Amino acid sequence: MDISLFVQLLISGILIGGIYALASIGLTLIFGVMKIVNFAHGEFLMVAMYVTFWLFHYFAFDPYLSILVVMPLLFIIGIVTYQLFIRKTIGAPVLTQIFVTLGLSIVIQNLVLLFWSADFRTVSLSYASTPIVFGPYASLSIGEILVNPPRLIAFVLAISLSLVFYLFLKYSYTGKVIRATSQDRSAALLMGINIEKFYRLTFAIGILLVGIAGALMMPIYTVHPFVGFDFVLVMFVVVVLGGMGSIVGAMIGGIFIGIVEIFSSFLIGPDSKQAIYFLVFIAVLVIRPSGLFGLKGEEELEHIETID
Amino acid sequence: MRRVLIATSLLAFSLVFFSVTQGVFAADNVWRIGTIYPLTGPNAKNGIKNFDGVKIATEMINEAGGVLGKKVGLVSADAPDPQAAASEANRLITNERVTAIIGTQSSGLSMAATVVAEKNKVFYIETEGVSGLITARGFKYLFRTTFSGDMMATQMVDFSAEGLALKLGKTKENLRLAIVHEDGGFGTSTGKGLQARAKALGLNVVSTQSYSAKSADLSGLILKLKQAKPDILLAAQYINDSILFHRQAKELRFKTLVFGTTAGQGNPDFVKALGKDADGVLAGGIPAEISIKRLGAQPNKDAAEFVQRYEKTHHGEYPNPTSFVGFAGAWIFYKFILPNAGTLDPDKLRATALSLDIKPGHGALNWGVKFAKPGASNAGQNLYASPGINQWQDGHLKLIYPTEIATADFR
Amino acid sequence: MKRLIDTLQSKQAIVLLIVFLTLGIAPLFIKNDFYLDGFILIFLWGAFASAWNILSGYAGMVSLGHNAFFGIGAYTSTLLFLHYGLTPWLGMFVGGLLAACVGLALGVVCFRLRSHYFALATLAFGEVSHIVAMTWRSLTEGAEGLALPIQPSLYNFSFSGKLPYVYMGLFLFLTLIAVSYAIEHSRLGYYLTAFRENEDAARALGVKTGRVRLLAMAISSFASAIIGTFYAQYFVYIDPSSVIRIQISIQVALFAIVGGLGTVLGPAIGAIIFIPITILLRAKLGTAIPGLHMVIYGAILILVLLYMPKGIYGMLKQRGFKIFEKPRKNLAPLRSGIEVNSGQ
Repeated sequence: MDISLFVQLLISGILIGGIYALASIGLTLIFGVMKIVNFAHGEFLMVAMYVTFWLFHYFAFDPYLSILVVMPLLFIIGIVTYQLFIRKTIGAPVLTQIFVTLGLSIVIQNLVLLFWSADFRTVSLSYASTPIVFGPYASLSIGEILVNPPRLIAFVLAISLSLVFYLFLKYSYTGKVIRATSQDRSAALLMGINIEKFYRLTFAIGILLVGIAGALMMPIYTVHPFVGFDFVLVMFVVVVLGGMGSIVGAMIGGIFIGIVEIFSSFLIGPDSKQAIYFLVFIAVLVIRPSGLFGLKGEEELEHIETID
Repeated sequence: MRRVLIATSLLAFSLVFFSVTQGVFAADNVWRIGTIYPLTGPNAKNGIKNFDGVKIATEMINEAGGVLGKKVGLVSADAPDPQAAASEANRLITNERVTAIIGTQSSGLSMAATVVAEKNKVFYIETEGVSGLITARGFKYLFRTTFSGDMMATQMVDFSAEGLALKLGKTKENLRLAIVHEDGGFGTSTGKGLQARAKALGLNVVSTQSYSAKSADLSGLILKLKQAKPDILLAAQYINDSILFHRQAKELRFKTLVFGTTAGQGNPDFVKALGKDADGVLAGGIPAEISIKRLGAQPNKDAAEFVQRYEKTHHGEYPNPTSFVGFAGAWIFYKFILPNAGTLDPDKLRATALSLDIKPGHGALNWGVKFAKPGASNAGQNLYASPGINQWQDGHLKLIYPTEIATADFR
Repeated sequence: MKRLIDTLQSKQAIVLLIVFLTLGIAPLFIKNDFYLDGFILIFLWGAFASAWNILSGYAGMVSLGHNAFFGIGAYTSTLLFLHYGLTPWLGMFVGGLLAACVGLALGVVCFRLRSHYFALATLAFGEVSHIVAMTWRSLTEGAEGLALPIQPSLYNFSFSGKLPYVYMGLFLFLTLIAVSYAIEHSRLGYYLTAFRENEDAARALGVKTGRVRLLAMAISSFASAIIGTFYAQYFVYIDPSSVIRIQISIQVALFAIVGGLGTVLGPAIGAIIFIPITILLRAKLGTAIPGLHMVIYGAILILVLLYMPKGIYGMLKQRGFKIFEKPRKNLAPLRSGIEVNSGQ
């Protein structure tokens, strides 16, 4: 493989990886703080994509501006979902969590099918269809590198937002409370923290983040009622690879998975690339279940009691 | 008290269940025909469209007075997966007492439902499932009205080797072909057909790739194809992935002549998503622009009316190829099979179907009707269901082959 | 044994016996193929749910990858028949053994993981097996699937009527229930319960938790594969979307959970309730408003899990229906990892 091709593949991989990263950050946050396996995470992504589409279709809203609408909307949806369903699964056996969220995903998928039909929807941006060309860099013997604008924008925005969020978690009061709650619930309780309120907030933030990812993805992908399931599996791989609860892990994991996907798709064949990253998934779970950045031994989950 | 409550609700539940599944025994003055299509689940999008074609055909025939004076009543079933397809076939046959079924859109669903129909000696019209496996089982009561995947693949390869090669300034010997297909039932069987025909003609296939239609990103695949430098890329894709493919191919500057199918590139959504970039792309399968003067007068009128009704109920959208085949299948049944049989008795329907010999251009769309006889390797296949080859030109899909009924030439 | 006899003489046993007898004799009188088909589906899924329950309920290792074992069973017997003419009766056992080996390998590698992580690992495993079925086309024909010829004969495990399938299904169904009963009341059952409730204490007491769980896994995967073969023989056509996609695992787990996880009759009850509901909803609503019946299905799932987490059998147990239960003498109720404070 010549170096030109290698660089092109690498760039493509990183770009798609950035998007996977942003979508997964919400999931890892929910995982890390509340130990909830949110199987419906892909459906919220899908809903955000639809919202972006409808805003574009009816009001000619630019998808990147739609983010301003998607953020509060998905945040509210997150709060409502938590109050109605998730709250009761805290402390319940893993089984309950998995299947309540799975049930939610079935309900959301089919409500969307009912109201908005099975048609695929796309958004085409006139300013975004010609590729940006980098190079050629004769001195490095690299030919032209082609980059697709919406992916580049999505990547840049995704990484920036992830960093902003990381800083928020690290330095703001709310962020510190969230981290405290995830590290030691009982201690946090003893410190007078209203655990329930922060669980709710965390969940809503997680949904908000995946909502932004959805808005960013709309110009790149098509949306239909069942698109969430495909994405949620990738998100789980990223989260496990990066370490549950680790934002940095999700970012690096996302990019890593994006690169693995592109390279194996080229070298082995596009059919088997999914198998490859699932094998990576199993390998991680077996060798280092806490992931790249998770706390060692974190997979020994303590049984969380109910909130009362 | 509680036990009484529980017992009563259980009883009520079973009563409701048994009564509801008994089926409506409609009055005798309606032809009761069952339908099985995926209206939910992964195939929903195409299933609904296919079924729309059948529904419009039914409306049209009923408004014209029905078949032999009796209206047609559809008893419809939803089959999101093969197990459901088999179950629903059982339900339609035993509870709803239908003796003729129209279905199924997807080959996998068709395989499951037709087994049940055949075991119960129920007449079955397959409107869209193209897999060769469907007709390879020698079923007596199964008739596929549309062309098979192999027929379409053969036409595509032949046209590439002869017509297209010339236009590209190449010969059969130095023509470079590549094949790409999604890995579902449609893609796999069409891909197999393309490969087999290319091999039979001794053509040079430089690369064959498959991928999951659910992939979010096809860059690796495209780069691989780009390296192989094909002159023509034969593609068996669905609409979603074909749009993704073309967009990414443009981004990665992969230029080649793409020859797809109406399931993907020929879908009206294709030009909506790609605009000018759609021009020049070929799509084999259902002939576009059906209302052509060179068709027999009646099919021309029928098709035009179909298009009109479809647009009225679909916000002015031109019919999807899958709706066209749904329409054609039902229409063949209502116009040629049922009236000549005069009954819904499967054996009579079967005898009538096998006796039909309607020349191409006089059936539905530009098709004729002639089913392969029992004993043939594809018994039940409509041999006069000819696929056509279309090309996008200035945002419109034009039929460029067969030349007798073409509306434009290849550009 | 004495306990078994005592159990059988109780009033509840008589009720249960009547139910089983009805299930057994009724098919002889039902001429309607649609209802017979319903029975077959109930038995098939009930047996499968019980098989799943052995690993996920009794051993407490929730698996979302059982579709792999089911698929291995279906494909193995079918391929052996199509290529070598081996009777599916034998092919069934080959498939079962193969599935058991794969299951053991999975267990050896993944049993050290707990709860969420194990579930995710099995989910990945299930997905990989689906991908293998789709892409290893030279073996499985990929998405095109494999069709079995319709040539009724005992050797071919193919019958023209539905009754033989009904009774085969019933046999599998009752066998799995019996196996569940045997496990629950055997030493294996005690060991598994000990592991489930407090792994560290169990280990400290000398329970070989690894081996014990592997045994449960072997039984569970073996049984699942056998049922997979039965599916293939009844439906006569298999492809990845019918025997190895992930929704199969979800469905089987759903039945077992709603019925009552970790109990002898729970999974069976789940199947008996859900199969008719599914058929009913699809028949009534499927075509009128596409998607509505799935919405209801999902809603039922959520409501049951939130408000009736011990499943239907759990609810019955609370009302005194304690058949097949181990007698709890003077022990204070242990805090079980499965039981839940249905708090709010």
